[in-house]
Amino acid sequence: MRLIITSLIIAFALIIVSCSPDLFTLNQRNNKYVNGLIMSDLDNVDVMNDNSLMLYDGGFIAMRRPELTGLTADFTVNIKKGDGVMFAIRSVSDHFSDHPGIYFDYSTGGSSVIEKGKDRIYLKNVYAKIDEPTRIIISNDCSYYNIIVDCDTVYKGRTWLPNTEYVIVKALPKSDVLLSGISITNTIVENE
Amino acid sequence: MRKFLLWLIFAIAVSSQFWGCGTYSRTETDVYTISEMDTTTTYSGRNAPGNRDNGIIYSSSRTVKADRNFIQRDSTVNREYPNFIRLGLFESIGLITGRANPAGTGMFGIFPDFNNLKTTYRGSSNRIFSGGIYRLGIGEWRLRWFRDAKDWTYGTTALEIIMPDALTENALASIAPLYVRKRFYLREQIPYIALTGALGIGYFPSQYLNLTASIDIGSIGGLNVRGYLGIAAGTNPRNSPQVLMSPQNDSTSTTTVFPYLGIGISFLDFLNRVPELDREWKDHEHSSWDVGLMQLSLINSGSRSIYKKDSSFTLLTGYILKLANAYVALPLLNYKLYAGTSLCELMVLGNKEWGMGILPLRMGYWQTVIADELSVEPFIEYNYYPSSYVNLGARLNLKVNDGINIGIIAGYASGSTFGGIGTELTNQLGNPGNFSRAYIGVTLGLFDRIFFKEQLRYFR
Repeated sequence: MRLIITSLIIAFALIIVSCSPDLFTLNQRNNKYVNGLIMSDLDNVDVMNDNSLMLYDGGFIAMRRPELTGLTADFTVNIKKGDGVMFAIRSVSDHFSDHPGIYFDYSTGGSSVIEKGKDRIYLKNVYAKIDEPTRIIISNDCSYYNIIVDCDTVYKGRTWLPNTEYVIVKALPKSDVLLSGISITNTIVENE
Repeated sequence: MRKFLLWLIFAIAVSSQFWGCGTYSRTETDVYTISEMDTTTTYSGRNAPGNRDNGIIYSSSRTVKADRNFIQRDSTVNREYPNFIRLGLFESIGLITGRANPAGTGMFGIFPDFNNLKTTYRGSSNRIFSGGIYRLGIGEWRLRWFRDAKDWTYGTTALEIIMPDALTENALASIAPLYVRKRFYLREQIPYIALTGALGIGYFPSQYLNLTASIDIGSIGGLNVRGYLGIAAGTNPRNSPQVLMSPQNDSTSTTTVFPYLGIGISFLDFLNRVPELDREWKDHEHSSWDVGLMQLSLINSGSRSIYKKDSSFTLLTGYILKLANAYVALPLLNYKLYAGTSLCELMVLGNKEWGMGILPLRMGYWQTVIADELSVEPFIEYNYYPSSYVNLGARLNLKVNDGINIGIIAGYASGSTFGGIGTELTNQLGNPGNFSRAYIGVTLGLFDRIFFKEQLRYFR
């Protein structure tokens, strides 16, 4: 009997440890699942709660809701230390660095929107403050995309890059960033 | 019996946690939504026949119509990646342990005297390779610990047998032993060269630890050669199959501790480095013209058939069976020359005219006739143990799919069969002798993949 119990404990422990430590799922409680992939060292990302996670120096993740491309991604960003965080849309996790995309750098020195490696805009007045939560909403709608920081639309752009399912987030070097209130929803349903 | 069941439950419970991890392939799917906006402008003019009144201004009949279209479509991309560090069919290691009662397993542990493959055999003197390690069904997956330290893996094998000598009760065996390995790559190009440290735990039916260091060369065409240094220590409980099968069955548990040196070879054993796990299957590098599990040829050599006891005519007189083949392209003659081998080969030309070869040496020339379909390969093959014969021939291969091919084979084989084959085969095929025969037949490759020029890494 003792052996059976030991076996079961080991079996459950192994289930918990899991064989894909680079994958995670958020929002399991409200069924609006967000699937995540840790693209950096595992130790640079810490999934804390059902919809919050911490990125440490160089922490790099890709999040998506499968098959949802017209998406609105909502984050509360709290930069604990360092420069800031980078968001990418219209890109994919596979060979990310080779793929064109739209990047939104949100840092203490200001913000910028970069498309296909070229600066679209630099927003000096939109900057992060250390340990002060900021709500960032990025939405894709057909060929348009919106970036909203604390309820202000800071950039509305148009692109011919195809929509993808991914929102990719990377902590800038030597930055610790807490992401909470994470959700990815359907832009069209939201607008209706 | 109760203890046996408990151990079985334990083994299943532990190993079952890795069944899901043990996939060999993973699929990733991305969806892209492409938005396309288009405006069609139509210009039309409808002039009434006849003259117009000139001298006055009046509106043109030309009309302009603009239609704006917006199309959105999804594009789904599926990508297939390997999901293992190592996946292998069979590994065999010849061990030098310096113990009394050596088994004489031969180089790589696969050249035994077949007459001695029985549990009553208690060893002979003057044998260098006194034991062996045999692994069937090997799998290794990435282990991400110590801050994602490089090249750690965990793995298992369906069955592992560690044999220090000929004594059955000393052989350690386990179903699904757990191994943790760390590799240090000395060469990061194919064929890889790595120093590997490993710790293994076997728990059923033997309980043992196996600590090894090895130098690994491979894989190329699924072939690997390894040199081992290690120590194994373990116990066979008194109700374990090894103790029960031993002729010296005194129903007492045995404990074995022994250091060893070993030389091993493995077949259909494929190794990926971590970066290769992010390379799609279709982009993977291949080095061989043919890698496969089995090639079976049904042949007619004009000799007396093995299928009939009388000497009446039969269409088929025998067969050629090759297991675990690899034909590795050589950098000669535009990589069309290849060197190949198999784990074993059984060539049965007819009754009492047959031979068997382990690790035969094969050299051939691979010529593609129709791309991705048809190829021809003249070859010469030398089998040296336990039979000695030369096989000269040619095979025409038609690829059916990635795992199956069919073809025609013709050739000439000449040689003789030594003793030491064992009674299992001689009872069935007759006592072997000398043979020299031409043959022709049809061939079938199962789980046997033929590669074409554009798939080999040398032509990319």
